[in-house]
Amino acid sequence: MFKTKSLVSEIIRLVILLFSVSLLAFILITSAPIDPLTTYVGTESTLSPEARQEIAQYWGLNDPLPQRFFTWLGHLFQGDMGTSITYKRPVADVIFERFSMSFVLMMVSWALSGIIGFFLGMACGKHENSVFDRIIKTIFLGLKSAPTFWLGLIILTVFGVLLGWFPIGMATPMGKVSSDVTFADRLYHMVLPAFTLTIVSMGDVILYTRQKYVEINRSDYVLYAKTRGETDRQITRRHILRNIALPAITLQFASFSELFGGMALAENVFSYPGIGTATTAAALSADVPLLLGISLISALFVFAGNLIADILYGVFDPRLREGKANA
Amino acid sequence: MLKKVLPMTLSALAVVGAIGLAGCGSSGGNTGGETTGEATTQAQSSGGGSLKSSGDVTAFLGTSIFDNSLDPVKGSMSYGYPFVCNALLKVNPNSEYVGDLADTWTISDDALTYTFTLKKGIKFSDGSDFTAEDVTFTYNEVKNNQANNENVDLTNLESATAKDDYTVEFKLKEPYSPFVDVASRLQIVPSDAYNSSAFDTKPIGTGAWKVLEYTPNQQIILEANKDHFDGAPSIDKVTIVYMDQDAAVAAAQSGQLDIVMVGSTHANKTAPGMTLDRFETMDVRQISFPMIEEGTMKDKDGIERKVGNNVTSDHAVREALSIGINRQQIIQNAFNGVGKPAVHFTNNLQWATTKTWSDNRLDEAKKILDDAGWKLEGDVRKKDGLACEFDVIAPGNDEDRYNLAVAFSENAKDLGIKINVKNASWDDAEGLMYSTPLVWGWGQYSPTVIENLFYSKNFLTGYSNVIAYNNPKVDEAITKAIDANNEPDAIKEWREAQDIAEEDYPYLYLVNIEHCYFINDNLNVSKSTQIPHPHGHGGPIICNMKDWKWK
Repeated sequence: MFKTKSLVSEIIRLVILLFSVSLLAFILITSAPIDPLTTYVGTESTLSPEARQEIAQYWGLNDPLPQRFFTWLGHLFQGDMGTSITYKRPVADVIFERFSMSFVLMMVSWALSGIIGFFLGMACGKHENSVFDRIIKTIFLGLKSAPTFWLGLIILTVFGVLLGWFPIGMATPMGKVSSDVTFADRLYHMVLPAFTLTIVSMGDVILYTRQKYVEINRSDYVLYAKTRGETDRQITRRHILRNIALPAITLQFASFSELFGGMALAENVFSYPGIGTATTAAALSADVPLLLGISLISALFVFAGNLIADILYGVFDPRLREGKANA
Repeated sequence: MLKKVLPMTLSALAVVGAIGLAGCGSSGGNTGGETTGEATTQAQSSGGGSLKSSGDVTAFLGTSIFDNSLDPVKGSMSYGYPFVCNALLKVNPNSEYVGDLADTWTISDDALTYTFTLKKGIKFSDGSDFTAEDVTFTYNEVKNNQANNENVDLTNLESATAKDDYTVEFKLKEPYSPFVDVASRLQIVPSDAYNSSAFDTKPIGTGAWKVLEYTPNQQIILEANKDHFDGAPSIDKVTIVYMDQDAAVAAAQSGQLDIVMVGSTHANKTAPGMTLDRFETMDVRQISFPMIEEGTMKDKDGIERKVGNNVTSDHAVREALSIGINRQQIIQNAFNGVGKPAVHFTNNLQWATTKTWSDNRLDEAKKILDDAGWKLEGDVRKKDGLACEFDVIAPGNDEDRYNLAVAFSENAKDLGIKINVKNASWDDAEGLMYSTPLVWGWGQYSPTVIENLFYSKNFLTGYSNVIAYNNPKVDEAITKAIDANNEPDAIKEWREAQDIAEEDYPYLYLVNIEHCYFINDNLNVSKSTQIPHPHGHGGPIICNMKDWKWK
């Protein structure tokens, strides 16, 4: 019973969220001082006024604003996200194309940073104030304050240019058609961007997990467990792991939104295909359908991240599960 | 636990070490971009790549080629350097229109009918025959979907009819001599195989190249069309890659690319086994001088606009600046010396005026200002209390235009004229362009730009003739040029219009841009068959890709 109820409320929340996000994005883009017709045609163009008029009419640039929004919304309900004026292609195609490859990269580095970060944090907490702990702490505090773009360039220069171990960029080898591209090729091309994104986003998890570990390790119940004669391994598994998992999960799923920033970095420095350039192009040329499409997808993405975190709370913390059942 | 941790720690340490290393390499105060340059210089000295001398060509041509669809119906590659498809006409290295898919063409006496006779025996890369029906299909497709094509304007086309398999007749609504330019820009697609969404990434054409694969924001892989009617390319495969400019320079220095487009700021960089080459363009940068005195007027939408400028509306100021400044020095300061001085549209265009004159005539310019009543008071001249001072806008946040405007402003100081350079987005610039000088960039084969810049009725209609230029003689020459029923007459009138207008110095031409590319020393890009590059750095070098050879 409660499950259907919460499912319905989640869906209602999602619909309201998506509607507000698209409305806000629409208001922002249409009130920006950008004339879509001018950016489309170009300022230094000798196109005749008749042709300009035809373009404006076709793309509905002369229609009143509320009408434009509701036309878009109407089409969306029929599963049509519209056509991008910048790329002259269906918005859904553009987003899918741009998103598919970088999605794998994002998920890989997200998972790696979460898992490695969690264990590194635990190791640091366990050996608090050891040389190892201090080195890791210093490195990741330093990395946190370093601009990610610059860090990417350094990594690219060292491993791509100086040492020549890895390709200088792109998701597949230059000049190789995708049917010939092997899994190994893709993996090889993913190493540098995945490595960069991983170490960039690992800092938070490490430092939080470390802190939490130290805190719990000093708690009364761990002391009591020790006096009971439980081994280190038993203590870690029974008392510490569960308690430090929660903040790590929250943090990691909340960072879904930051993944988009990371994608822009990968796109620029490592020439990895992604949604970043499409977003910039859409915003700069007031390409309303494309920008709304991207906003919707990103909102959906972030929402999914939070939803998964909510569900996982229940899995890791029985109290939350029972609490919901009683309500 | 520690076993898992160790490799990670080592890599992390390696990164930190690398940061320190690169920090030593760049000797303080350098930006991120510079760091790449420094580090890669080390790469050359330590290893250096083995230089390619055969096989495929990989090129970085900027990113704009990835911005648009590859479908000619949607305006793709309509600037004069298509590779997958061909147009009826093409531009040759002397900027003349010559037949491509068409053999010959005639224009009726009333200038309303254009008849093209097509070459026979040409096939599309899917094996189908090229006939007049493909031509009429393409033209009608664009005409019916004008909104999808912002580059080729067919609103003046009345009809396109196939008279027989190899003759096409175009009827125009009004005489329009630049129609030959339209015919050189719109490439023909096969009527049977045309598919709007498939052609976005994989068009079929008669051209020297076929698209093997198009990956958005990654690469376009092209394969030679061995059956091309004008001879097969000697290189089998060309890959055009998408990259960040800095990454592309780094890739060039590690020997992974054969052609790399670079801006003038990189003109003094080097890459092992590659040479920086400059290419001639028809692209000019000019500054618009509002010709009337300050006031307000309503534009075509009835919106009140600030128009005119009290300083630049004085003929003496415009003339003194045009003849007095030192363009060579401005180019040196703004572009590392890349570019040629220009005083009007470039001579590599058929319709450009051929008259030329020298600048840097400082004394003469000062005398003109003195005689006109602009007297030097301190550093800046004044006339009846009005300072000889105005703003120049570098629009579109374009760094090159800004640098150019600053160098120009420095140079104008010698004349006692104070110029304040402002950066603005195009949207902000649009609100100011009727009253404030602005840096413009023009580079196209079509002479329609003359109509755009000088025709009096264009004032207040948008981005054309923003300076309110009004000279009945120029208007007359422009009308005659557009109405002409043959090319020589049209060219004569276009030149006439420029020669008359030049006496008023309405626009100050500064530089004829040059495009820089790093090119593999073993690759010959056949400079003799390159056409003068149009506006838009990056793509134009591929105009003669089928003539490229390994040395």
